[in-house]
Amino acid sequence: MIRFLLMMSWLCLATTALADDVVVIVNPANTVILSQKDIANIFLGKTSSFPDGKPAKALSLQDGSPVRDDFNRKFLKKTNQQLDAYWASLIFTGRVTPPRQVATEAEMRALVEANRDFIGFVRESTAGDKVRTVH
Amino acid sequence: MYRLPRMTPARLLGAAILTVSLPATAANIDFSGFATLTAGDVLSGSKHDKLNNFQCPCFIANYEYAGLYENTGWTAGVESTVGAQADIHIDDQLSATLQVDGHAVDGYQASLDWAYLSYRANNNWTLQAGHKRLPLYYYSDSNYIGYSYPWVRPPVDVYGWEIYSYDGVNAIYSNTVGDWALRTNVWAGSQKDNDSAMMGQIYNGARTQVLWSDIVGAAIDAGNDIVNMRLVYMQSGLEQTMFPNDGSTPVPQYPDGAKQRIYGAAFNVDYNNFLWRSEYNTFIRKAIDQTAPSFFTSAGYRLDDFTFLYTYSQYREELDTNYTAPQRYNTHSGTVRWDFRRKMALKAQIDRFKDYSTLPFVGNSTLLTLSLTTVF
Repeated sequence: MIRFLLMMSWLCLATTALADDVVVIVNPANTVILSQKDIANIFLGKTSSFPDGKPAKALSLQDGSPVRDDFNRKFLKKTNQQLDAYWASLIFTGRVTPPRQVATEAEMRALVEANRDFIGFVRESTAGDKVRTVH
Repeated sequence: MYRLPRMTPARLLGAAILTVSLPATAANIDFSGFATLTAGDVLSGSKHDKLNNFQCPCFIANYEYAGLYENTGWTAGVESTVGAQADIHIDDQLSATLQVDGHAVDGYQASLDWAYLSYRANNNWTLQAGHKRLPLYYYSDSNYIGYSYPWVRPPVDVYGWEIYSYDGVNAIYSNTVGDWALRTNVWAGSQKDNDSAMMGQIYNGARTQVLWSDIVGAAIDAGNDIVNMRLVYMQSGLEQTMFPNDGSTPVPQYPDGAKQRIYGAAFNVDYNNFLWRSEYNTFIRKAIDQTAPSFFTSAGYRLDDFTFLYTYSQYREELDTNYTAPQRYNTHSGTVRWDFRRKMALKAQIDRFKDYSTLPFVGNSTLLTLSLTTVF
Protein backbone atom coordinates (compact mmCIF):
# COMPACT_ATOMS: atom_id res chain seq x y z
CA MET A 1 0.00 0.00 0.00
CA ILE A 2 2.78 2.38 0.95
CA ARG A 3 4.54 1.55 -2.27
CA PHE A 4 1.31 2.27 -4.18
CA LEU A 5 0.93 5.63 -2.45
CA LEU A 6 4.54 6.47 -3.12
CA MET A 7 4.09 5.62 -6.75
CA MET A 8 0.91 7.72 -6.97
CA SER A 9 2.62 10.67 -5.33
CA TRP A 10 5.57 10.29 -7.67
CA LEU A 11 3.20 10.27 -10.65
CA CYS A 12 1.45 13.36 -9.33
CA LEU A 13 4.81 15.09 -8.87
CA ALA A 14 5.94 14.08 -12.32
CA THR A 15 2.80 15.30 -14.05
CA THR A 16 2.62 18.49 -12.01
CA ALA A 17 6.22 19.27 -12.84
CA LEU A 18 5.39 19.26 -16.52
CA ALA A 19 2.66 21.85 -16.16
CA ASP A 20 4.15 23.80 -13.29
CA ASP A 21 7.03 26.17 -13.90
CA VAL A 22 10.16 25.93 -11.81
CA VAL A 23 10.96 29.09 -9.80
CA VAL A 24 14.04 30.24 -7.92
CA ILE A 25 13.59 31.02 -4.22
CA VAL A 26 15.62 32.93 -1.64
CA ASN A 27 15.14 33.92 1.98
CA PRO A 28 12.62 36.80 2.44
CA ALA A 29 15.36 38.88 4.13
CA ASN A 30 17.41 38.63 0.94
CA THR A 31 16.20 41.51 -1.25
CA VAL A 32 18.87 41.25 -3.93
CA ILE A 33 17.84 41.48 -7.57
CA LEU A 34 19.06 38.45 -9.52
CA SER A 35 19.37 38.04 -13.26
CA GLN A 36 19.25 34.60 -14.87
CA LYS A 37 22.99 34.92 -15.37
CA ASP A 38 23.57 35.61 -11.66
CA ILE A 39 21.57 32.49 -10.84
CA ALA A 40 23.57 30.37 -13.32
CA ASN A 41 26.88 31.69 -11.93
CA ILE A 42 25.87 30.72 -8.39
CA PHE A 43 24.59 27.25 -9.31
CA LEU A 44 27.64 26.52 -11.50
CA GLY A 45 30.02 27.47 -8.68
CA LYS A 46 31.43 30.42 -10.64
CA THR A 47 30.66 32.75 -7.76
CA SER A 48 29.96 32.14 -4.11
CA SER A 49 28.25 35.43 -3.41
CA PHE A 50 25.08 37.31 -4.35
CA PRO A 51 25.52 40.53 -6.39
CA ASP A 52 25.36 42.49 -3.10
CA GLY A 53 28.46 40.64 -1.86
CA LYS A 54 26.69 38.48 0.72
CA PRO A 55 27.49 34.73 0.69
CA ALA A 56 25.40 32.52 -1.58
CA LYS A 57 24.91 28.78 -1.09
CA ALA A 58 23.05 26.90 -3.78
CA LEU A 59 20.74 24.00 -3.02
CA SER A 60 19.69 21.42 -5.56
CA LEU A 61 17.39 18.42 -5.68
CA GLN A 62 18.63 14.89 -6.22
CA ASP A 63 19.72 13.56 -9.57
CA GLY A 64 16.75 12.32 -11.59
CA SER A 65 14.31 14.84 -10.15
CA PRO A 66 12.17 16.27 -12.98
CA VAL A 67 12.08 19.66 -11.21
CA ARG A 68 15.88 19.71 -11.22
CA ASP A 69 15.95 18.78 -14.92
CA ASP A 70 13.57 21.69 -15.63
CA PHE A 71 15.74 24.05 -13.61
CA ASN A 72 18.90 22.95 -15.46
CA ARG A 73 17.25 23.52 -18.83
CA LYS A 74 15.63 26.86 -17.96
CA PHE A 75 18.31 28.58 -15.85
CA LEU A 76 21.60 26.80 -16.57
CA LYS A 77 20.74 26.12 -20.21
CA LYS A 78 22.62 22.86 -20.08
CA THR A 79 21.70 19.23 -20.57
CA ASN A 80 22.40 16.69 -17.86
CA GLN A 81 25.31 15.35 -19.91
CA GLN A 82 26.89 18.79 -20.26
CA LEU A 83 26.51 19.38 -16.53
CA ASP A 84 27.98 15.96 -15.69
CA ALA A 85 31.08 16.75 -17.79
CA TYR A 86 31.29 20.28 -16.36
CA TRP A 87 31.24 19.07 -12.76
CA ALA A 88 33.58 16.16 -13.51
CA SER A 89 36.27 18.65 -14.54
CA LEU A 90 35.84 20.62 -11.29
CA ILE A 91 35.07 18.02 -8.62
CA PHE A 92 38.22 16.00 -9.21
CA THR A 93 40.46 18.97 -8.72
CA GLY A 94 38.76 19.90 -5.48
CA ARG A 95 38.06 23.32 -6.98
CA VAL A 96 34.36 23.66 -6.42
CA THR A 97 31.77 21.30 -5.07
CA PRO A 98 28.35 21.09 -6.73
CA PRO A 99 25.30 22.48 -4.90
CA ARG A 100 24.27 20.55 -1.81
CA GLN A 101 21.48 18.15 -2.66
CA VAL A 102 18.30 17.88 -0.63
CA ALA A 103 15.69 15.15 -0.87
CA THR A 104 12.47 17.11 -1.31
CA GLU A 105 11.13 20.50 -2.29
CA ALA A 106 9.72 20.86 1.22
CA GLU A 107 13.22 20.45 2.69
CA MET A 108 14.59 22.94 0.17
CA ARG A 109 11.88 25.46 1.10
CA ALA A 110 12.50 24.98 4.82
CA LEU A 111 16.26 25.54 4.47
CA VAL A 112 15.81 28.68 2.36
CA GLU A 113 13.22 29.97 4.83
CA ALA A 114 15.67 29.47 7.71
CA ASN A 115 18.93 30.80 6.22
CA ARG A 116 19.66 33.98 4.32
CA ASP A 117 22.59 32.43 2.44
CA PHE A 118 20.59 29.71 0.68
CA ILE A 119 19.15 29.85 -2.82
CA GLY A 120 17.07 27.01 -4.24
CA PHE A 121 14.30 26.14 -6.66
CA VAL A 122 10.84 24.58 -6.43
CA ARG A 123 7.74 24.29 -8.56
CA GLU A 124 5.80 27.55 -8.60
CA SER A 125 2.71 25.96 -7.04
CA THR A 126 4.70 24.79 -4.00
CA ALA A 127 6.71 27.96 -3.33
CA GLY A 128 4.30 29.29 -0.67
CA ASP A 129 4.70 32.73 0.89
CA LYS A 130 7.49 32.12 3.40
CA VAL A 131 10.24 32.39 0.82
CA ARG A 132 10.83 35.04 -1.84
CA THR A 133 10.43 34.02 -5.47
CA VAL A 134 13.04 35.77 -7.61
CA HIS A 135 12.42 34.26 -11.04
CA MET B 1 56.58 -0.81 -14.25
CA TYR B 2 59.27 0.27 -11.78
CA ARG B 3 57.63 3.18 -10.07
CA LEU B 4 57.48 3.64 -6.34
CA PRO B 5 54.31 5.22 -5.00
CA ARG B 6 54.80 8.94 -4.96
CA MET B 7 54.40 9.30 -1.21
CA THR B 8 56.97 11.78 0.06
CA PRO B 9 57.29 12.19 3.84
CA ALA B 10 55.53 15.57 3.61
CA ARG B 11 52.56 14.03 1.82
CA LEU B 12 52.36 11.09 4.20
CA LEU B 13 52.44 13.48 7.14
CA GLY B 14 49.70 15.58 5.57
CA ALA B 15 47.54 12.50 5.00
CA ALA B 16 48.18 11.30 8.55
CA ILE B 17 47.20 14.64 10.10
CA LEU B 18 44.04 14.70 8.02
CA THR B 19 43.13 11.14 8.97
CA VAL B 20 43.74 11.71 12.66
CA SER B 21 41.79 14.96 12.73
CA LEU B 22 38.74 13.44 11.03
CA PRO B 23 36.92 11.77 13.91
CA ALA B 24 37.50 14.77 16.17
CA THR B 25 35.96 17.29 13.85
CA ALA B 26 33.22 14.97 12.51
CA ALA B 27 33.86 16.62 9.18
CA ASN B 28 31.48 16.32 6.31
CA ILE B 29 33.15 14.21 3.62
CA ASP B 30 32.26 13.88 -0.07
CA PHE B 31 33.61 10.79 -1.82
CA SER B 32 33.84 10.54 -5.58
CA GLY B 33 35.64 8.43 -8.11
CA PHE B 34 36.51 7.98 -11.75
CA ALA B 35 37.68 5.18 -13.99
CA THR B 36 38.85 4.96 -17.57
CA LEU B 37 39.51 1.73 -19.42
CA THR B 38 41.47 2.46 -22.58
CA ALA B 39 42.72 -0.16 -25.02
CA GLY B 40 44.94 0.66 -27.94
CA ASP B 41 47.10 -0.79 -30.66
CA VAL B 42 49.66 0.72 -32.99
CA LEU B 43 48.28 -0.32 -36.35
CA SER B 44 51.20 0.69 -38.53
CA GLY B 45 54.23 2.93 -38.73
CA SER B 46 57.91 3.05 -39.44
CA LYS B 47 60.12 0.31 -38.07
CA HIS B 48 62.48 1.86 -35.65
CA ASP B 49 64.72 0.49 -32.96
CA LYS B 50 66.17 3.61 -31.41
CA LEU B 51 63.90 3.79 -28.40
CA ASN B 52 65.60 1.53 -25.87
CA ASN B 53 64.01 -1.92 -25.99
CA PHE B 54 60.60 -0.87 -27.22
CA GLN B 55 58.93 -2.50 -30.19
CA CYS B 56 58.40 0.29 -32.67
CA PRO B 57 56.37 1.47 -34.52
CA CYS B 58 55.23 2.90 -31.23
CA PHE B 59 53.24 5.84 -29.89
CA ILE B 60 53.82 7.85 -26.70
CA ALA B 61 50.36 8.41 -25.22
CA ASN B 62 51.44 9.77 -21.85
CA TYR B 63 54.61 11.56 -20.81
CA GLU B 64 53.80 11.74 -17.09
CA TYR B 65 53.83 8.00 -16.43
CA ALA B 66 55.68 6.99 -19.59
CA GLY B 67 52.71 5.36 -21.30
CA LEU B 68 53.88 3.97 -24.62
CA TYR B 69 51.97 1.76 -27.07
CA GLU B 70 54.03 -0.71 -29.03
CA ASN B 71 53.29 -2.69 -32.15
CA THR B 72 52.48 -5.81 -30.12
CA GLY B 73 48.69 -6.09 -30.30
CA TRP B 74 45.86 -4.63 -28.26
CA THR B 75 46.60 -3.65 -24.71
CA ALA B 76 44.68 -1.92 -21.91
CA GLY B 77 47.84 -1.57 -19.85
CA VAL B 78 49.05 1.82 -21.06
CA GLU B 79 46.40 4.45 -20.31
CA SER B 80 43.74 2.83 -18.11
CA THR B 81 43.33 4.74 -14.86
CA VAL B 82 41.20 4.62 -11.70
CA GLY B 83 40.96 7.22 -8.99
CA ALA B 84 39.15 8.00 -5.76
CA GLN B 85 38.80 11.30 -4.02
CA ALA B 86 37.74 12.52 -0.62
CA ASP B 87 36.79 16.14 -0.06
CA ILE B 88 36.79 16.76 3.65
CA HIS B 89 34.86 19.87 4.65
CA ILE B 90 36.23 20.67 8.08
CA ASP B 91 34.15 23.84 8.40
CA ASP B 92 32.72 26.50 6.08
CA GLN B 93 36.16 27.83 5.27
CA LEU B 94 38.59 24.96 5.64
CA SER B 95 38.64 21.81 3.53
CA ALA B 96 41.06 19.11 2.51
CA THR B 97 41.23 17.23 -0.79
CA LEU B 98 42.88 13.84 -1.16
CA GLN B 99 42.97 11.96 -4.42
CA VAL B 100 44.57 8.57 -4.94
CA ASP B 101 45.11 7.41 -8.51
CA GLY B 102 46.24 4.13 -9.99
CA HIS B 103 47.61 3.90 -13.52
CA ALA B 104 47.75 0.62 -15.45
CA VAL B 105 51.21 1.45 -16.77
CA ASP B 106 52.44 1.53 -13.16
CA GLY B 107 50.73 -1.75 -12.28
CA TYR B 108 48.06 0.37 -10.51
CA GLN B 109 50.41 1.39 -7.72
CA ALA B 110 48.63 4.00 -5.66
CA SER B 111 49.88 7.52 -6.20
CA LEU B 112 48.67 10.49 -4.23
CA ASP B 113 47.91 12.98 -7.00
CA TRP B 114 46.23 15.63 -4.89
CA ALA B 115 46.71 16.24 -1.17
CA TYR B 116 46.09 19.78 -0.10
CA LEU B 117 44.36 22.03 2.38
CA SER B 118 42.12 24.79 1.13
CA TYR B 119 41.15 27.86 3.14
CA ARG B 120 38.41 30.13 1.82
CA ALA B 121 39.36 33.51 3.26
CA ASN B 122 36.28 35.25 1.84
CA ASN B 123 33.96 35.09 -1.18
CA ASN B 124 36.81 35.90 -3.57
CA TRP B 125 40.05 34.59 -2.06
CA THR B 126 41.06 30.98 -1.50
CA LEU B 127 44.47 29.94 -0.15
CA GLN B 128 45.77 26.40 -0.66
CA ALA B 129 48.82 24.43 0.41
CA GLY B 130 49.99 20.89 -0.28
CA HIS B 131 50.57 18.65 -3.24
CA LYS B 132 48.76 19.63 -6.44
CA ARG B 133 48.95 19.13 -10.18
CA LEU B 134 50.86 21.90 -11.96
CA PRO B 135 48.24 24.04 -13.69
CA LEU B 136 50.33 24.56 -16.83
CA TYR B 137 47.57 23.70 -19.28
CA TYR B 138 43.84 24.17 -19.62
CA TYR B 139 43.27 20.45 -18.95
CA SER B 140 46.16 19.87 -16.51
CA ASP B 141 43.89 19.57 -13.52
CA SER B 142 41.50 17.11 -15.17
CA ASN B 143 44.08 15.25 -17.26
CA TYR B 144 42.90 11.83 -16.03
CA ILE B 145 39.18 12.60 -15.85
CA GLY B 146 38.43 11.23 -19.30
CA TYR B 147 34.75 11.98 -18.90
CA SER B 148 35.42 15.72 -18.73
CA TYR B 149 36.92 16.19 -22.22
CA PRO B 150 36.11 15.01 -25.73
CA TRP B 151 39.33 13.19 -26.76
CA VAL B 152 40.70 9.91 -25.45
CA ARG B 153 43.51 12.07 -23.97
CA PRO B 154 44.40 15.78 -24.22
CA PRO B 155 46.71 16.06 -27.28
CA VAL B 156 50.13 14.74 -26.19
CA ASP B 157 52.15 16.92 -28.57
CA VAL B 158 51.17 19.74 -26.21
CA TYR B 159 50.55 17.87 -22.93
CA GLY B 160 54.00 16.34 -23.10
CA TRP B 161 56.17 17.14 -20.09
CA GLU B 162 57.46 14.77 -17.47
CA ILE B 163 56.90 17.00 -14.41
CA TYR B 164 53.21 17.49 -13.76
CA SER B 165 52.78 18.23 -10.08
CA TYR B 166 54.34 20.29 -7.32
CA ASP B 167 54.49 20.76 -3.57
CA GLY B 168 53.75 24.32 -2.63
CA VAL B 169 51.22 27.03 -2.00
CA ASN B 170 48.78 28.95 -4.18
CA ALA B 171 46.21 31.71 -3.95
CA ILE B 172 43.08 31.92 -6.08
CA TYR B 173 41.00 35.04 -6.72
CA SER B 174 37.59 34.39 -8.26
CA ASN B 175 35.16 37.05 -9.40
CA THR B 176 32.57 37.81 -12.05
CA VAL B 177 32.49 40.76 -14.42
CA GLY B 178 29.24 40.98 -16.36
CA ASP B 179 28.82 37.68 -18.18
CA TRP B 180 32.38 36.62 -17.46
CA ALA B 181 33.59 34.44 -14.63
CA LEU B 182 37.27 35.09 -13.86
CA ARG B 183 39.69 32.96 -11.89
CA THR B 184 43.25 34.05 -11.20
CA ASN B 185 45.67 31.60 -9.64
CA VAL B 186 49.25 32.27 -8.51
CA TRP B 187 51.45 29.50 -7.19
CA ALA B 188 54.94 28.76 -5.89
CA GLY B 189 56.70 25.54 -5.00
CA SER B 190 58.98 22.85 -6.34
CA GLN B 191 58.96 19.28 -7.56
CA LYS B 192 61.62 16.60 -7.56
CA ASP B 193 61.24 13.26 -9.31
CA ASN B 194 64.04 10.91 -8.25
CA ASP B 195 63.32 8.43 -11.00
CA SER B 196 61.53 10.06 -13.89
CA ALA B 197 59.58 7.36 -15.72
CA MET B 198 59.62 9.26 -18.99
CA MET B 199 63.27 10.21 -18.92
CA GLY B 200 64.51 6.90 -17.53
CA GLN B 201 62.45 4.32 -19.34
CA ILE B 202 61.91 6.00 -22.65
CA TYR B 203 64.66 8.49 -23.37
CA ASN B 204 67.88 7.08 -22.05
CA GLY B 205 67.27 3.79 -20.22
CA ALA B 206 68.98 5.01 -17.03
CA ARG B 207 67.61 6.44 -13.79
CA THR B 208 67.14 10.15 -14.26
CA GLN B 209 66.48 12.66 -11.50
CA VAL B 210 64.52 15.75 -12.49
CA LEU B 211 64.13 18.81 -10.26
CA TRP B 212 62.02 21.86 -11.02
CA SER B 213 62.94 24.28 -8.25
CA ASP B 214 61.69 27.76 -7.31
CA ILE B 215 58.53 27.33 -9.36
CA VAL B 216 56.51 30.56 -9.64
CA GLY B 217 53.48 30.77 -11.89
CA ALA B 218 50.26 32.62 -12.61
CA ALA B 219 47.22 31.77 -14.70
CA ILE B 220 44.05 33.63 -15.48
CA ASP B 221 40.93 31.81 -16.69
CA ALA B 222 38.02 33.76 -18.13
CA GLY B 223 34.80 32.19 -19.33
CA ASN B 224 31.19 32.79 -20.22
CA ASP B 225 28.51 30.52 -21.71
CA ILE B 226 30.26 30.31 -25.06
CA VAL B 227 33.95 31.14 -24.69
CA ASN B 228 36.58 29.93 -22.23
CA MET B 229 40.07 31.43 -22.35
CA ARG B 230 43.27 31.00 -20.41
CA LEU B 231 46.66 32.68 -20.15
CA VAL B 232 49.52 31.18 -18.15
CA TYR B 233 53.12 32.02 -17.27
CA MET B 234 55.49 29.93 -15.19
CA GLN B 235 59.21 29.88 -14.46
CA SER B 236 61.47 27.56 -12.51
CA GLY B 237 65.00 26.37 -11.98
CA LEU B 238 65.91 23.18 -13.80
CA GLU B 239 68.20 20.32 -12.86
CA GLN B 240 68.35 16.96 -14.52
CA THR B 241 70.88 14.25 -13.69
CA MET B 242 71.29 10.88 -15.36
CA PHE B 243 72.75 8.01 -13.31
CA PRO B 244 74.35 5.64 -15.83
CA ASN B 245 73.48 1.93 -15.42
CA ASP B 246 77.17 0.99 -15.22
CA GLY B 247 77.56 3.02 -12.02
CA SER B 248 79.83 5.62 -13.58
CA THR B 249 79.71 9.30 -12.61
CA PRO B 250 76.24 10.88 -12.76
CA VAL B 251 75.81 13.14 -15.76
CA PRO B 252 74.14 16.53 -15.30
CA GLN B 253 72.06 17.28 -18.38
CA TYR B 254 71.77 21.03 -17.95
CA PRO B 255 74.40 23.58 -16.94
CA ASP B 256 74.33 24.76 -13.32
CA GLY B 257 71.70 27.40 -12.67
CA ALA B 258 69.61 26.49 -15.75
CA LYS B 259 66.16 28.06 -15.77
CA GLN B 260 63.01 27.69 -17.82
CA ARG B 261 60.16 30.01 -18.72
CA ILE B 262 56.82 28.73 -19.95
CA TYR B 263 54.07 30.70 -21.69
CA GLY B 264 50.69 29.33 -22.66
CA ALA B 265 47.24 30.32 -23.92
CA ALA B 266 44.01 28.46 -24.54
CA PHE B 267 40.87 29.44 -26.41
CA ASN B 268 37.77 27.24 -26.36
CA VAL B 269 34.30 27.77 -27.79
CA ASP B 270 31.02 25.91 -27.35
CA TYR B 271 28.37 27.39 -29.61
CA ASN B 272 25.16 25.45 -30.19
CA ASN B 273 26.38 22.10 -31.48
CA PHE B 274 29.81 23.31 -32.50
CA LEU B 275 32.89 23.04 -30.37
CA TRP B 276 36.40 24.43 -30.78
CA ARG B 277 39.38 23.71 -28.58
CA SER B 278 42.82 25.25 -29.01
CA GLU B 279 45.90 25.66 -26.89
CA TYR B 280 49.36 27.05 -27.44
CA ASN B 281 52.35 26.57 -25.19
CA THR B 282 56.06 27.27 -25.34
CA PHE B 283 58.96 26.24 -23.12
CA ILE B 284 62.11 28.37 -23.21
CA ARG B 285 65.34 27.01 -21.72
CA LYS B 286 68.01 29.60 -22.54
CA ALA B 287 70.87 27.54 -21.07
CA ILE B 288 70.61 25.04 -23.92
CA ASP B 289 69.09 27.45 -26.46
CA GLN B 290 65.89 25.43 -26.37
CA THR B 291 62.60 26.88 -27.52
CA ALA B 292 59.78 24.36 -27.63
CA PRO B 293 56.50 25.70 -28.97
CA SER B 294 53.54 23.38 -29.33
CA PHE B 295 49.87 23.84 -30.14
CA PHE B 296 46.69 22.02 -31.05
CA THR B 297 43.37 22.96 -32.56
CA SER B 298 40.25 20.80 -32.45
CA ALA B 299 36.99 21.38 -34.27
CA GLY B 300 33.93 19.31 -33.48
CA TYR B 301 30.20 18.88 -33.82
CA ARG B 302 27.70 17.37 -31.41
CA LEU B 303 24.85 15.31 -32.80
CA ASP B 304 22.56 14.06 -30.02
CA ASP B 305 24.66 11.70 -27.91
CA PHE B 306 27.58 11.73 -30.34
CA THR B 307 30.48 14.18 -30.64
CA PHE B 308 32.71 14.14 -33.72
CA LEU B 309 36.07 15.84 -33.45
CA TYR B 310 39.10 16.49 -35.64
CA THR B 311 42.38 17.58 -34.03
CA TYR B 312 45.70 18.79 -35.38
CA SER B 313 48.62 19.14 -33.00
CA GLN B 314 52.34 19.77 -33.33
CA TYR B 315 55.53 20.11 -31.34
CA ARG B 316 58.49 21.85 -32.94
CA GLU B 317 61.64 22.31 -30.94
CA GLU B 318 64.63 24.55 -31.62
CA LEU B 319 67.72 23.40 -29.79
CA ASP B 320 71.43 24.09 -29.49
CA THR B 321 73.07 21.45 -31.70
CA ASN B 322 75.61 20.65 -28.95
CA TYR B 323 72.88 18.71 -27.19
CA THR B 324 70.61 16.37 -29.09
CA ALA B 325 68.83 16.71 -32.38
CA PRO B 326 65.61 18.67 -32.00
CA GLN B 327 62.34 16.77 -31.78
CA ARG B 328 59.66 17.80 -34.24
CA TYR B 329 56.40 16.04 -34.93
CA ASN B 330 52.72 16.48 -35.60
CA THR B 331 49.55 14.45 -35.20
CA HIS B 332 46.21 14.34 -37.01
CA SER B 333 43.49 12.80 -34.87
CA GLY B 334 39.85 11.87 -35.36
CA THR B 335 37.65 11.20 -32.32
CA VAL B 336 34.09 9.98 -31.86
CA ARG B 337 32.58 10.24 -28.39
CA TRP B 338 29.30 8.53 -27.55
CA ASP B 339 27.54 9.52 -24.33
CA PHE B 340 25.53 6.33 -24.16
CA ARG B 341 24.32 6.80 -20.59
CA ARG B 342 24.60 9.28 -17.74
CA LYS B 343 28.17 9.76 -16.48
CA MET B 344 29.56 7.25 -18.97
CA ALA B 345 31.07 7.74 -22.39
CA LEU B 346 32.65 5.53 -24.99
CA LYS B 347 35.28 7.02 -27.29
CA ALA B 348 37.16 5.84 -30.35
CA GLN B 349 40.17 7.75 -31.62
CA ILE B 350 42.67 7.36 -34.39
CA ASP B 351 45.97 9.25 -34.24
CA ARG B 352 48.35 9.59 -37.17
CA PHE B 353 51.69 10.65 -35.75
CA LYS B 354 54.37 11.97 -38.08
CA ASP B 355 57.93 12.32 -36.82
CA TYR B 356 60.12 14.75 -38.73
CA SER B 357 62.83 15.22 -36.10
CA THR B 358 66.38 15.60 -37.39
CA LEU B 359 67.09 12.15 -35.97
CA PRO B 360 63.85 10.13 -35.83
CA PHE B 361 62.49 10.23 -32.27
CA VAL B 362 59.90 7.47 -32.26
CA GLY B 363 59.19 7.29 -35.99
CA ASN B 364 55.80 7.56 -37.68
CA SER B 365 52.85 5.60 -36.36
CA THR B 366 49.09 5.19 -36.48
CA LEU B 367 47.36 4.42 -33.19
CA LEU B 368 43.78 3.26 -32.68
CA THR B 369 42.33 3.55 -29.15
CA LEU B 370 38.95 2.70 -27.63
CA SER B 371 38.12 4.19 -24.27
CA LEU B 372 35.30 3.67 -21.80
CA THR B 373 35.20 6.38 -19.15
CA THR B 374 33.02 7.09 -16.16
CA VAL B 375 32.69 9.24 -13.07
CA PHE B 376 30.83 8.21 -9.94
